[in-house]
Amino acid sequence: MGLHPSSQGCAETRTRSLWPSRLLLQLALPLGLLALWWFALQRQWVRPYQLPAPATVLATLQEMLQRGELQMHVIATIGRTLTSYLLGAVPAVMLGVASGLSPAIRAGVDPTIQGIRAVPSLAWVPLFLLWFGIGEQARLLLIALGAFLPVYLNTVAGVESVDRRLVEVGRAYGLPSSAITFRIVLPGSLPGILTGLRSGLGMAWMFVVAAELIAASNGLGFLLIDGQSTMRPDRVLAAIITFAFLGRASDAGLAAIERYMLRWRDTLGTPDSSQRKQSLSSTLKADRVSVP
Amino acid sequence: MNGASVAVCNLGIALTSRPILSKVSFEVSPGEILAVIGPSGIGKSTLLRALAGLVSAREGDVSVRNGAERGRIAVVFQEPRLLPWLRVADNVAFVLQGPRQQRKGRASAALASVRLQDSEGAWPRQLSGGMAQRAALARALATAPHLLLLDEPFASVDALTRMELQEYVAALWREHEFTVVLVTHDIDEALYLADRILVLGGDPASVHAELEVPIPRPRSRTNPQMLALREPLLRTLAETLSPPTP
Ligand SMILES: Nc1ncnc2c1ncn2[C@@H]1O[C@H](COP(=O)(O)OP(=O)(O)OP(=O)(O)O)[C@@H](O)[C@H]1O
Ligand SMILES: [Mg+2]
Repeated sequence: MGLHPSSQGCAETRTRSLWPSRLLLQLALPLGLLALWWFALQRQWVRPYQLPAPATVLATLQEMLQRGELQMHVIATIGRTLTSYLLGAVPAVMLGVASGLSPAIRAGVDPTIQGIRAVPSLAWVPLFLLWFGIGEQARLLLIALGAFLPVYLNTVAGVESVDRRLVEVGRAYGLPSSAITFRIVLPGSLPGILTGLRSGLGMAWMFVVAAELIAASNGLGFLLIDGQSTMRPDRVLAAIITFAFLGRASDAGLAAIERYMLRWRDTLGTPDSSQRKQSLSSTLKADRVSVP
Repeated sequence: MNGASVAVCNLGIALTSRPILSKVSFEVSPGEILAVIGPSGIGKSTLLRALAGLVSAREGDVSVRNGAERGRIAVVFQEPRLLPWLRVADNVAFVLQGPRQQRKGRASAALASVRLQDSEGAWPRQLSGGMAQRAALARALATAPHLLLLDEPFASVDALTRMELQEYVAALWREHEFTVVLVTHDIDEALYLADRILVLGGDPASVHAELEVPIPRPRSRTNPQMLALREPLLRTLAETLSPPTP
C-alpha cells in the first residue's frame, strides 16, 4: 500500500503563455517616446527645424528610397563595414587563439596590443590621414582597428576560459596536439570568440560613422554630416534610423549564428532550457500555485 | 598479451608545492586488476593522473610498458568530462582512431553496451549524472585499451546498474586481458573486481597496506571468502584515517 503512488491532491497545473504581455512590454517604451516626440512638437517645446515631425522623417526616408539615394549610401556603408570588419576580425581571431595557446606569442604581442588599446581609437585618425590621405584605405584601416581589439581580447579570454579538465581528456587519450587544439580548445573558446565578434561588429559600425564623418563622399555617415551642413534634420534622422536598423539587423544575425553554434550550452540562454527560465520566473512570481 | 605493465617507483608528487604523494612504489603486471582505496582527499585521483601522464613526478618515476603508444591508455575520470559541444556518440568517437565510419560504428557499439543506445544523438547536458558517467565508461572501453584507469567510475549510478557495469567490465577484461587500475570507495567493488588491493594512507600519502584477493573467477558476490576479507580490509582502512585533530 505504501508502495503505491498516490495522485490525489494534485490539481492540474496550467501553463500560461507569456507572449502577449511581453510584446506589449517591449513596445511600451518606443511607443511612449514616439508619443513624446509628437507631443513636444504639438506643444511647440521644440521647433520643426530642430526636430521634424515623425511623419516628415518618414516622408524623407520614402523620398530618398524612391530616388535610390538611400540605397546608394547604405550599400557604400555596408561594403565599407563588412570589408574592414573582416580585415580586423579574422586576424584578431587567429592572433587571439595563437596568444591564448602560446605564452611566447602572448608575451610577444599582448603588451603592444594592450598599449594600442589604451589609446582611444579615434586618436589615430590624424595619423591615418597623414599616412594614407583622405582615401578609402585610411577609412578601412581605422574601422578594422576598431573591430580588431574587442575580437582579439575576447578570443584570448575565451581560450583561457577553456576547462583544463577537458584538455586533460585529450592528453590522457593521447590525441595529437592539433586535435586537442581544433576539437577541444577552439570549440571551448567559441563562446568568447563569438562575444568578441559581436562587440567587434558593434565597434565597426561605430567607426564607420567616424570615418565617414571625417572624410567621405558617400555612405550614411556622409549623409549625417551633409544633413547637418544643409540644415536638414529630417535627413539626419533618416540616416540615424537607417543605422539603427542596420546595426540591429546585423547583430540579430550574429546572435542567431551564436545561438546555433552554442546550442550545446547549458545556460539560461539555451533555447530548450526555456522551460527552466519560465519555471524560474513563475516560482518567483508564485503564479503557478495550484489549489486542491 | 594485451595488458600493459606498470611500475611505480618511489613516486613523489606535490601540487602547488604541497606534497601529496611520497615514496609510492608498486607494480601492476599485465592483465591484472589493481584496486586502490583510501580515505577521501588522500591522493588517489592524483596517483591515477600520474599513471595517465597528466602530472609530472617530483621524485621517482612511473613507467608503463606495452601501453605507452598513442591511445592505449584509457581513463574514466571521477567526473564524466564529456565535451559539451559534441553529441554523446561523437564524444566517444573523437578519441578513437581510424576511418570515420568505423569510429562511429565502434562508438555506437560501446554506447549500446552501457545501455545508452537511445542517447547517441543527445547533448551531454541532457544526460543524467549516471548516464554521463556511463558514456565516459563507453568512451574508455571503445578504445580497446591496454591500460584502463578508472576513478570511481560507478559512484553515481544505482546499485543494480553498478553491478551490471562491474560485470560488464569484468567480462570485457576476461576477453581482452587488459590491465586495470581502479580507484574506488566501495570495498565490495574492490573485492569483487580486483586481484590485489592497495590501501593508501598517511600525509603525504604512501602505500599503507597491500592485500591479495585470491578468489577464483568468475566471482560470486556472496562468496564467503570475500566476506571474510571484508573485515581486515575495513580495519586497515580505519587505520589510515588519522584521529581528528581538535
Ligand atoms: N589541482 C590541485 N592543486 C592543488 N592541490 C590539489 C589539486 N588537486 C587536488 N589537490 C589536493 O590533493 C589532495 C589529493 O587529491 P585527490 O583528488 O587525489 O584525492 P582523492 O584521494 O582522489 O580524493 P576523493 O576520494 O575525495 O576523490 C587533496 O588534498 C587536494 O586538496
Ligand atoms: Mg578522487
